[in-house]
Amino acid sequence: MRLFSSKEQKQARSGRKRHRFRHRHWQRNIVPITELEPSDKGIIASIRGNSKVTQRLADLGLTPKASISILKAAPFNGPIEVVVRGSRLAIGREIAKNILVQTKGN
Amino acid sequence: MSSCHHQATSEKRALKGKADLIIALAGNANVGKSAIFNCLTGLHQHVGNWPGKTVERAEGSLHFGDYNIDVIDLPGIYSFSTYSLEELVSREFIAFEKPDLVVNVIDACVLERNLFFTLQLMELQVPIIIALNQIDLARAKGIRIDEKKLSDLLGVPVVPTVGIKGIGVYELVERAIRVVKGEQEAKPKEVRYGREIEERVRKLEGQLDEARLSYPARFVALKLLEGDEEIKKEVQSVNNEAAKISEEYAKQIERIHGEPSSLVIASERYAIANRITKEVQTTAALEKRGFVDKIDELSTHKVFGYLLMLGVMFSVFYVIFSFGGFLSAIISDFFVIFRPPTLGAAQEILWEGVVGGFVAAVTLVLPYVLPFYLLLIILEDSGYLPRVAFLLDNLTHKIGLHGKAIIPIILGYGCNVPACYSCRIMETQRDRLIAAFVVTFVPCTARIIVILGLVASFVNVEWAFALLLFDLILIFVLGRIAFKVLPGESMGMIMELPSLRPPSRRVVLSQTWARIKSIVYMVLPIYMIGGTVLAIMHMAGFLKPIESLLTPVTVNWLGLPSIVGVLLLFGVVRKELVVVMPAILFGTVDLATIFTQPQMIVLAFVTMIYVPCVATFAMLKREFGWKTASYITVFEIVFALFLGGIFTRSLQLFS
Repeated sequence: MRLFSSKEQKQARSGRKRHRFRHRHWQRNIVPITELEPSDKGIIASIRGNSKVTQRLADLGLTPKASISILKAAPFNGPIEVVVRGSRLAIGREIAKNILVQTKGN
Repeated sequence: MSSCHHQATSEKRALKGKADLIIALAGNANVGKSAIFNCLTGLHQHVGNWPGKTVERAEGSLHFGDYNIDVIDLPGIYSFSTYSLEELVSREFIAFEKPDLVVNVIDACVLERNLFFTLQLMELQVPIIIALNQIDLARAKGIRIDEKKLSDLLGVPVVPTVGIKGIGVYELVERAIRVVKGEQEAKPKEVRYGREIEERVRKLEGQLDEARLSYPARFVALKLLEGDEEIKKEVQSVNNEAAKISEEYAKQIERIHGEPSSLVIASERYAIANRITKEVQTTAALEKRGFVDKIDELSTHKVFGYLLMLGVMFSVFYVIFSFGGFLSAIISDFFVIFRPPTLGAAQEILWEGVVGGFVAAVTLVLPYVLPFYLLLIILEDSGYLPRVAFLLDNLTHKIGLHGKAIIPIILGYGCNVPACYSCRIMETQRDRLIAAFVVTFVPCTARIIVILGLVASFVNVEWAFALLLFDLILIFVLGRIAFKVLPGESMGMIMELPSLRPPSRRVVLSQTWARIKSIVYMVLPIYMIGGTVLAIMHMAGFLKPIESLLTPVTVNWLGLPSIVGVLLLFGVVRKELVVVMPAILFGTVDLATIFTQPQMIVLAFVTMIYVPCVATFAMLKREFGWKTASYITVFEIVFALFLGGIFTRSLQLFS
């Protein structure tokens, strides 16, 4: 149960940005998690970035093929709150941009 | 059933003499490890540093049956890679010091991620027992874990516990003793990887001579393939051939999987953790959520999260200042009433110095520092602080730091000393330095007392707020400059958001006590000696030469009375001495007879930023070395005097 349904917000924001991105990646549906909306889910396809960052992410469970779901995004380009392997993590925007996921469906 | 203190009538000898047994607590952060540590050792703990490293080392003692047990609480870590000093320190402790047993505390709510660490611990081939902690929370979330099956799969004993209530802790120690006595098996099973990795690990193992290594050969082989620099260095010194082969193998694995081999191994390790979790864990869907879960949901919400945060911060400061001011007034009145009416010169010195210093310490620590720590630790233990870091990440990015930096900054409002210490939560040395630099500008309780005591009491509240606001702007501007000027790279935020939970009374009280204790021990003698020295110097007429020496700065540049020279010198010891000392020197608490209103504003301003106090300097020195600590100090003196003079002139201009 979500306390604050994000449906309306989601529609309101319905994202030109998202459409544009979808279009660019429509073949494989692979997007960075920054392009996802709260309660979206996906499978991690790959993670870019320096080895220290990718190592840390892997230690916390963000490895290729792991499933990830988005809980929230802090406003003003703040961090993104995700759930991976049952644990909740906050990931800064600049790192999150480099986490590419394959979204389910659509 | 809070049985943990029954047998733990810890005799004080354990740490002095040699302990019979050494047990290390290891596990992820936020799994309730410190609750179990507190339960085992009670107040018999000692917090220090690992030799030569800025990593906290918590140690305690416990008397159980015939055994004196030394308990080491290793830092909370997620892996044994060399991502952080904490991970390296923990790994080296287990491998080099060889504790008799490692208690791996794991969070039943996040089994899979915890097992990722357990698997690496098993690879170190030490006797392990697992404390499956927070099973009450897991149950509330509908998670059930078959601990017998888990124990069979891993080959180590598993004891369910609820650390904050002491449940299962007695049994944990009992089992630990049985394992050490050899009455129970605790031999971890071998963790097996996919064929491509397993083949190469075995070949590498064959190349390595375990007797010449400080870690088990299999562990070394795996870490070599993961590209671990520390291990590679060690192997290179004894067997350069093996190190070279490992590089070749790592490349082969990368070619096969299309990912760096460290990631491949992490993925496989997680796959094993996932398989085990699936076998032992069942999750039921929950229909109802508790009050705490609702707050949890709200705490990172983009509107309500900020409102909640403002509410929490406001309440914390409100409680500290209303309660603190009230209590502080009572305590100082109490001492004024009991002042003996007639005093000789010697008694005068004693009274003003020793008693006055004691009163100053008591009126600061008891009303302000104690409630601050109590509230802060409640916030910390409940898991709220990471949410603040989440919400304010954007703000702290302006000074080049990610959201976690807000934690030392908040701490700084209580006292800069622990705040500088807490900069360790930042990942890189550069981030730690920027955070610490910024923290020294955060007005601590002592400085707020000066601002309140001078400006709010004798000028007006608006000016007091204006000063605090100006300081906040200063923090951002200087932080931003430091961020631009200092070389090196910053790291983005990767942070766990542990579930919110009601704080544990035991953990909160013992942690508050531990932190207050160190501050009291440091502050009390400084106050009493400082007060006595000042009283003696005043009576012997030593203050005049010092004052006249500083006249060019204090009178000519800052436009303040010459007495300020002495005040500022003592302010280096503790900043609130700037408002306490005039009372001692002039025997009056009406500061309006000494300073004009603009002078008070300038004095408060200069005091706010002119130098880190002695204790903060000592902490900066410990964390960053003499050079950096001195640079920061010199910069702040020059900067404060410069701005102070400009401030005086602009106030004159406008009045």
